[in-house]
Amino acid sequence: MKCQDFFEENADNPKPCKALQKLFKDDEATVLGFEQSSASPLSEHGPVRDDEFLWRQIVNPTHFDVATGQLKVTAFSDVSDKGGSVNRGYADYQALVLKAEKRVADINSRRPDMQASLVGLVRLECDEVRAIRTPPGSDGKTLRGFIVLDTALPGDESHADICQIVSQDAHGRSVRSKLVELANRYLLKIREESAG
Amino acid sequence: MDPITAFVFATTVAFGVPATRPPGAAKLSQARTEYVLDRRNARSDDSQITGFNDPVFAELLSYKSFSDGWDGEGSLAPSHRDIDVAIAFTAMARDYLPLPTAMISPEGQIGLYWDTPLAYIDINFDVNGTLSIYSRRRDISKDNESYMANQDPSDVQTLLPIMEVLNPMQMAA
Repeated sequence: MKCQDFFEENADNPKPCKALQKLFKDDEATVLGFEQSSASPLSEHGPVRDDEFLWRQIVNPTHFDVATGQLKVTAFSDVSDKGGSVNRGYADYQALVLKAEKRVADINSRRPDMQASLVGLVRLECDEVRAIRTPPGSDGKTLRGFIVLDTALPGDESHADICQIVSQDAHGRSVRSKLVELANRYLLKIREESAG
Repeated sequence: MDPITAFVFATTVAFGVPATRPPGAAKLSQARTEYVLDRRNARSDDSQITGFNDPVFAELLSYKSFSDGWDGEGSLAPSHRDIDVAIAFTAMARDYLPLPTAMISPEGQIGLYWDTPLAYIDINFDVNGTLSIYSRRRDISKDNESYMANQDPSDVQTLLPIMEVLNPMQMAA
């Protein structure tokens, strides 16, 4: 099965990563191979390379611990079901900040009680995300935690997704905690970035 | 008594937080303030030890106001019972452990976590009324991750594996 075929089949599935996890249990090679092609027919830059940066908006204060200045693991819950939206490194930083600010304004216009605010952007390194693995099982084998796919969207050509491909709760908790640990290392808070 | 303290106290009574301590916990009777490497304990004070006015309780209570869609399309409101169980568990744990931080997933699942230089531990309150614990020690590189599901949130013994990860040297002493 080709990557685009899989995503066409799951076009109406709000949780495509769950389908990826199911497929990964039966056919690891096919799922890992999806990274070699684009998931979207709109792609102009091709598959996401290991040496690319990935920008992730952090907009919801519920997933950010103000006391420690650190992200909570729930900031990346979406990688386990609908896919964790990121933008590829070639995207313009200021345009991403504007887009994030617009998203915050949209949230606050719909749900003023949530008092959403823009925390900042995380700049992940793709090869580090792809290197995250589960702890060894009884057979000593470890599994890749995520794949990173080119999922270009109309008007958002640099869009990509981080998708969790392991399905066990223990494995998911392990790899997501490691992803958030990475993200906390590379969180650029908007005020600090603007001041620089 | 402030409203949050009153609520937490009532919740712990309702969930029957036990008065007995788990085996091995006695040596930790004063350990809560000795977790000097814990980020949250670094700013703890006496009021957190004697009262329920730590922000973790207020944050857990605030989740009761979350309705479907609180975190965007498809996000779900949490179960109020799960929040009460998490509050009672935290109230029980505070006698033995540094206070955790609260979290809620877009699916409405309530959790708690500790993130220290020595370890990362998170707890999820699962739909069947049990809790699951994932932990990763940072002071060792092999066999440093563990996972336990179906733990009883009202059983003080549930705290032992958390204690062992948060402060292995003290537990081994």
